[in-house]
Amino acid sequence: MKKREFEYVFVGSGVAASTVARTILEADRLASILILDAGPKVPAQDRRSWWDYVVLDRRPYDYCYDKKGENQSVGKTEWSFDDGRVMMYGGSTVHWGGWCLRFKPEDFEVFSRTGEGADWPISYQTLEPYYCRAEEYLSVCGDDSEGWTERSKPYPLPPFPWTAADSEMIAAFDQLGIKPGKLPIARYRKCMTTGTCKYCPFGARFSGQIALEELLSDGRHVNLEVLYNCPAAKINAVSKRRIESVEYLDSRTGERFEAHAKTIVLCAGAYETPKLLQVSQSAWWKDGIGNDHDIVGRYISSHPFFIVRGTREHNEEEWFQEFDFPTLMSRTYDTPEMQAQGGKIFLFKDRTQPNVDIAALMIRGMSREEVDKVVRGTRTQELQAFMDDRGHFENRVSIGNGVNRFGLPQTRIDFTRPPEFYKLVEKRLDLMEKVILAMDYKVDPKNRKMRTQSAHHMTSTCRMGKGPKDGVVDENLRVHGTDNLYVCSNAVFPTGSAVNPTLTLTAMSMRLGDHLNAAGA
Amino acid sequence: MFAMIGGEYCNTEVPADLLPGDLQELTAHEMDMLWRIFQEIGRTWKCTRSDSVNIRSDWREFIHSKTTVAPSYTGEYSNAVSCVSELIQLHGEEEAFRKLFLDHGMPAPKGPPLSELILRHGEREAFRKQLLSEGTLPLTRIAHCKIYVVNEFIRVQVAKEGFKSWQGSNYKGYIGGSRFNRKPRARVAIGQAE
Repeated sequence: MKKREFEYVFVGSGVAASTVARTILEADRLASILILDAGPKVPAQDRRSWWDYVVLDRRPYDYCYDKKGENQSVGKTEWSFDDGRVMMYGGSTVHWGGWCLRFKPEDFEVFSRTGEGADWPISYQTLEPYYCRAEEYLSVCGDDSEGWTERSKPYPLPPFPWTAADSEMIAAFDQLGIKPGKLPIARYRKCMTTGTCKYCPFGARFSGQIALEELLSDGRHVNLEVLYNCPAAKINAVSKRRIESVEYLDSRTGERFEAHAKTIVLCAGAYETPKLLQVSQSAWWKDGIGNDHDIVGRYISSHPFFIVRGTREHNEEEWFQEFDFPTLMSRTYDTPEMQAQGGKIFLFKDRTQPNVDIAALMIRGMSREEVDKVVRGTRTQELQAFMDDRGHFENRVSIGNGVNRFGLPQTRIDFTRPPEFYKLVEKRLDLMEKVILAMDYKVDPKNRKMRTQSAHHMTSTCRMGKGPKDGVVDENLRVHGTDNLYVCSNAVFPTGSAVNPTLTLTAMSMRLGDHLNAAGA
Repeated sequence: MFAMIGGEYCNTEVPADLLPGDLQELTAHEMDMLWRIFQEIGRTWKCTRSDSVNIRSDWREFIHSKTTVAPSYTGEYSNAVSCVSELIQLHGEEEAFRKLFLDHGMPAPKGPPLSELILRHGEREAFRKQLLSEGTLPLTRIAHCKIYVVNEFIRVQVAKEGFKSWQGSNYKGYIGGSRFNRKPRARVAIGQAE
């Protein structure tokens, strides 16, 4: 096995790895860094790929999702692997929507407030300056007057306006005492609103790949290297505390390498990071690194995702989807009071509705008059919500049967929701249904539901904790019991929130970068 | 399928996959005829203000990317030109386009666009069987013309301009002007300004 040496080795190339690496390089342009990703490099900002997305609805990275037949869901609650994460250079930032919401102070104190889940070893106040930095880095467009969370700096950019199609739901919110808000959206570069956020032709939406390519193209970073198609196989320890190297395979050549580093950072998401720790067994770590207390991979959680869709018979305004992101949201039910009652929800209007696929009607052979009739016909609006999740010891990610096409071990999820959870779901759906009914829309019961539990926004599989019995990593994201192994991923969140995690992960990544810089200095 | 609107050439049976044309270039005549098809889409659905001339550069870039990057559509475009030429010969210009766009007899596709189903990675055979059972697998030259060329041109036309005739300010694939555009880029709620 060939040996290579670096100061830092990162496993994964998404928002966490790219942001930590960037923070290190800002302090030391010559830092030697290797970034490994198991997946391929799919061209970004490629015009043919973009045109194919516009006319064929095909994204060039579609083949980088988990495929049907891969992975195993073995719990009593079905866990869907569809479209949850992207295995490629840039990670899941390649398909994210850029929603950038801060967690709220109570999200960091879940156990103290509810007796469930876990507290974070850091507070909102600790993270607040990093939230400001992260918002500046990602160029978040937000509303300074929102008042959802305390903030020490304004948003770097103004918010996108509510669209005309938001009007009815805003009126319903007002009627029900729900405060409407504007969704904070990250626009790394100036957004030209092509409606194709899932594959931006300009790189307006941040991705780990674009961020790393920019770092690589900066001639001062002569010791930065990114390798894709290179799955990490094992982390090697030379003593209980000292982690020496990462073994990886170059899938294109079949060669195996051992990358030695002073500091190793695992940024491979909430599936791969715990699996890599579990497989890294040695005389010092018999059950895998950081797993002496059997908590690596446990507490897996993800947002329950609710939808309530309503219809009315006329669409006289001819509304259809114009942006590819929502503009209307509310955090009125994302409060300590709702947390105490079992679950907070973050409300947002479905970004895809109302909508009529005009081109599809033309393709079918409808005349102009027939298309007009459909466009002005039935109108659909949908309110969606994420609920916070608290994680249970029994719910776990572990190594499944076989290896996938990128050389990663398949994933096994054992996940079960308790029966009382579904009573809470009904209560939250009731709140949402009131909004749709206040809009004078009809709700078909089959369109009032919780979606199948899926892998979007997974957290907690290597959670932070004050000691090794409480968590896999400490408050500085270092694996308990080691000197130089870190985890930076949603996996370290002790609990999730009702909102999307990426802004918080970006802030955590900047904090880790500062910590590593200070340790290096 | 399509037997009513085409002649011998249009109804020649061919495989469903993209017709070969790699390393070939379109002729000026072919480009002119393809542009004519594109313009006729805007005319037929009355969704263009300048006879599509204002979006000709978008269309040309689309054709360029489709013919210079794999998988190449050059073979499909050449085939479409031949199909439309035969339709015009058989039915006259106006009727040829009316039949091609409005009276093609093509069953409505279920789910994503047909060519997406044919080209997408994985599960290819299952989709092929599904399309075969629906009667929507393109197995003649005219079917290729409709699915690979006309349908995609319709999407380009609507995305680049056509949607505006349905009161829209934005649409999937529309690029809303310059980076310093002060105009709202979607229809906004009353009292909202960007």
